Amino acid sequence: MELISLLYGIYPRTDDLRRAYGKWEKGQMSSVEISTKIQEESTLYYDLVREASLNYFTDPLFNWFDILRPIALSIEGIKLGPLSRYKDTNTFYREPEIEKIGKLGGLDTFREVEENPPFPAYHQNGSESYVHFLPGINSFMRMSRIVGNPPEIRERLKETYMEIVEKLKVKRLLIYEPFEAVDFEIYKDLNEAASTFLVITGGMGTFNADSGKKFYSIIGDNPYSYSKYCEIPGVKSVSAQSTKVNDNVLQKVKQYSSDFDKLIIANTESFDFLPRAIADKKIFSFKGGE
Amino acid sequence: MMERLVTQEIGSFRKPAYLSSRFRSYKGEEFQEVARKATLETLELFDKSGLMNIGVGGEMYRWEMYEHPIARMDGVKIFGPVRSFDNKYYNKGSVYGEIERKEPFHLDEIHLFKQMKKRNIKLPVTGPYTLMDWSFNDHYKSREDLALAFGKIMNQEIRELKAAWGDEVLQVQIDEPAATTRPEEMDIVMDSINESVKGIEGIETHLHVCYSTDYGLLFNIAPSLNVSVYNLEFANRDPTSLTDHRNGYDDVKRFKETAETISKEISLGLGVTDIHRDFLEPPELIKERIEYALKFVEPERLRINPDCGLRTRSREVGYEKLKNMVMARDEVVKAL
Repeated sequence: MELISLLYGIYPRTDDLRRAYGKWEKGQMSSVEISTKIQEESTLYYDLVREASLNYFTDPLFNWFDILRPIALSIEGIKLGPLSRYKDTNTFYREPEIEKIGKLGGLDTFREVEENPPFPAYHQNGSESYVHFLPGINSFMRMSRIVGNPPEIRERLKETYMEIVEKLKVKRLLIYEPFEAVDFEIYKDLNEAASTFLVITGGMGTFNADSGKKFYSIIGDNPYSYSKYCEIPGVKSVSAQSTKVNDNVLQKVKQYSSDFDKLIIANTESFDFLPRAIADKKIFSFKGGE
Repeated sequence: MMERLVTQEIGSFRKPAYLSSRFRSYKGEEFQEVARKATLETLELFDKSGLMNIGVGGEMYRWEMYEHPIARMDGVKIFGPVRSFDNKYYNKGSVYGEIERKEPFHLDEIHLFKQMKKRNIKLPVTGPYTLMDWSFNDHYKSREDLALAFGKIMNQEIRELKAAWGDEVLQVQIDEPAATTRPEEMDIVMDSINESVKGIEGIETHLHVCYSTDYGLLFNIAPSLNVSVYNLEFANRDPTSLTDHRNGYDDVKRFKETAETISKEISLGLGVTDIHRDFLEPPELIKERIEYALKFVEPERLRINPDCGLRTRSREVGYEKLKNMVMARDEVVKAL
């Protein structure tokens, strides 16, 4: 069985970058300077993932203060609400308050925004391994306070995601659903437009396998339940909840070796839940080694 | 006769810059001296505000509630900071072996207050469930096992603090901000807190929980929880306009219903000022909040406090918030 590695989500910041953000917040560093710093740190991250021979990786999202914020800040009709606990962790995000889904702002150029470091939201490295990250629409809705009409907002979010994919010329897309969702039909058009990795939590919900192209990959906990909907199934195997560097990946995936020719090995959550020093070691453990 | 509407703070207060800017650089005697100075200055502010229970003077000896005890244990290692939100981080420990207490956590504070002959103190300690929930568990078989192990350590700590304090009753506040984050684990919350105070005589146990989405989970375990005072956050969820109904305080009624069903007497610490905003709640607003709570809880069983530690606000704003709180309380007491 061939193991294909994928690292997704926010990657932890270095001490240097954290300090730089501290200076920027106090007005001791300009937005242009912090933007340059983010770019430099992103470049170092790409060096690291190349060294670890990862097959696919998303942007490190160093300037995403949470997994929704840059998207929330780019859409007219969404305001930032209070801090809210992310699942049952000790990490908090600003809960979007969605009245409507209006015009989409620029994501790919320098831009100052409120309550988040400056854009661009993505710092692509041009590699074939690079994957654009987007929070799942189901989870986005669930993590927000919906003030407007939910079905309308949902439909408009779908259209806005398509607009993002088109504007950014996204080739590979990763959609992350940190909460259990039931509707994956919503990604049909996105999946047609880009090679899509769908990271799910819990079961597969409603998805009609005959209604279109298969996902490139679906990554969850039980590949048997979703392998028919994708070209290569994946499992969340490298833990973002443990500081043990060796995750015994080979041991964990051994059970699938007779059933799948290829398997994607991914992290269980954003590595942002780990100290940077541990994350930098763990990325070498995706294929079993340290 | 029991004092009515005792005012108290919850724990932390913003450190003066001379302490916070070099907190980790000060060592040994020098640290003790600077922390003592900051505590005395904070106590002056507390006295000036009229606060009745002074806690431990704003936790000047502690950097923050999690790292302070964790750094004094074996079996836990801190590999670096982990994000809490935005660009705010905390040092999250990894439990890699059997945990043990290397040294006392808060004995220096007890010694200071004893020496100063201050009796109106309340000593906050970090709760075992929160210590477990905020740590990586790379050793214990289950979250329950780890929480109980932290409970045993807290028991050692509280026992030693009480011994150092002497014969008088010591108020100990167990801080459990994580207590209700996993409803299915309320038994673990209960068992680990009970383990922390098991067999210790002469303490009054407070429990502080804040920003919970459901205090009902806590009230459900109250009959079996060895806790006398529940210090809870409310102001954050209450509107700031003057109104007949205080929406943020709906759970006070549930507290009353809980208190009525259990045999032991329990008290409520009512959060009346929001610690996440500089907005100074006027005494009239705080008065309304207290009066609303008094519809359900008798004044001897009601204490008045900020929602949580005031370290999030400047010392000036923190002081003003406490002052308004005391003013409001005094007015309510006059009318009783």
